[in-house]
Amino acid sequence: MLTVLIIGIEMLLAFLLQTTIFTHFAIGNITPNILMILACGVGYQFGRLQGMACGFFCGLLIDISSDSVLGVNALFFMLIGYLNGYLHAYYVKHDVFLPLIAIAGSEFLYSLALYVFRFLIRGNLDFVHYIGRIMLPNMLYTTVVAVLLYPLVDLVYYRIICSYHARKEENTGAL
Amino acid sequence: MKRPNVPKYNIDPKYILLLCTLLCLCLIFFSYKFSSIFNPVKAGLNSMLTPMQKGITTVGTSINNFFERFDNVDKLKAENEELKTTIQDLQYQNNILQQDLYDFELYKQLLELDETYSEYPKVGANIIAKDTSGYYATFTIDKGSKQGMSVDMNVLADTGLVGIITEVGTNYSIVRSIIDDNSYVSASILKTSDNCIVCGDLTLLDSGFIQIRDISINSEVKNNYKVYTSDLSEKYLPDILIGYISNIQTDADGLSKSGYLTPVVDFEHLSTVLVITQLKESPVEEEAADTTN
Repeated sequence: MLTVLIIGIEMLLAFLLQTTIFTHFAIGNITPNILMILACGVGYQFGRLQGMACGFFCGLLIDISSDSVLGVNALFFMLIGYLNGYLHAYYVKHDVFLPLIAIAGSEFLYSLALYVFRFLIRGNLDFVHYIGRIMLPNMLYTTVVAVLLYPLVDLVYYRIICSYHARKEENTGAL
Repeated sequence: MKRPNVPKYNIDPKYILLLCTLLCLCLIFFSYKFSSIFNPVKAGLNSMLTPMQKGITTVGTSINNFFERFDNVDKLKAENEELKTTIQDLQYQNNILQQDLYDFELYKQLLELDETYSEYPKVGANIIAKDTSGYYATFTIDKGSKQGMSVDMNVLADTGLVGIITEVGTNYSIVRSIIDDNSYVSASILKTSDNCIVCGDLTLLDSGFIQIRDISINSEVKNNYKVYTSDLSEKYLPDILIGYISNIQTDADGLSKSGYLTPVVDFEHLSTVLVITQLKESPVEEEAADTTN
């Protein structure tokens, strides 16, 4: 229960920072996707199901705040959270390398999906331009920010969630 | 430290994924098809988020302003000098213009023209959040239906058109700017009165241009001509400055001309905007009412 609450708060914080403060750090209209860092992180730390749930709500937050159709981002984020859940099998304590690669890949997939869904079906075939101007920069910027922010997500996971579970187990053991 | 035991489920996550994907697809379908039902839900949820966004933006801006104050003293001094010379220039020009105006009034009386340039009622608003996917140029402002905003109201900044409100909640509105890839504005060129379409283009984003097209082939349009919103537009009020034409060319099919347009608004550094609280339809309805009377 505490885990759900903490991840909920993290989601809200990530969303608020992304839409307000981080728009000031935009480089050439590219803003780091912090919700993606969180969704990937949760998938990696907890597994497929949890990653999926976290992704769904992250995407829903974006859907609600933008003027797009409800559910598009939710679907993409959910699939990405699910895919990242496969990496849970390779979880190593305090590892940053694997999640960073996962975040980079996920962000690329996400902007590719958005391109297909919103631009390709309207007949914009200039794929090379979009890949060079939006998808790759999006991926790079998000990954660079993830280098700083993912350890924070990891810290919250270890310091709060894991220690809480450890204590709970001790208590039940004592009983 | 021991990691929490991830609970084991009997159902394979694959099936849950399938179920949720179907759910999402249904959501997309229904929210697209029945947007009138889903929009209030969306607006309700969003009105919980916007006060928080507003708070963060306000705090962020005030911190930014505090530090900028020390930064800018030299710059402001230089600017002040520059402005003083500009004022003198303008005063001189103003004198000439006032004489012209006198002549103009005279001619107007002679021609019995009493149509004046329309002045629209405006309300200021702050930008509190922006879309971050990189694909869209939409942003959220801190005024909603409570403050009298409604969908299709035009949004200005400085002296030019910024965009149009596409969604309204109780305390926020979402604005689609004219540089967005989905934006189309019916416009007209001031000197030649040619009609044309101004549309946003993501591929031109870095150059600071947007597209202008469907100008008549017979038009004598040249670079740096001013472009205004046209009377023909369904949603945009007439006579709002959009920008200046550049790089005008004849299309490959030889039937029309197209080119680039430099917007007068600096979209990179936009933080406050003006919303025109008058909708395009209202004057038409009034006129209709007048004629029936």
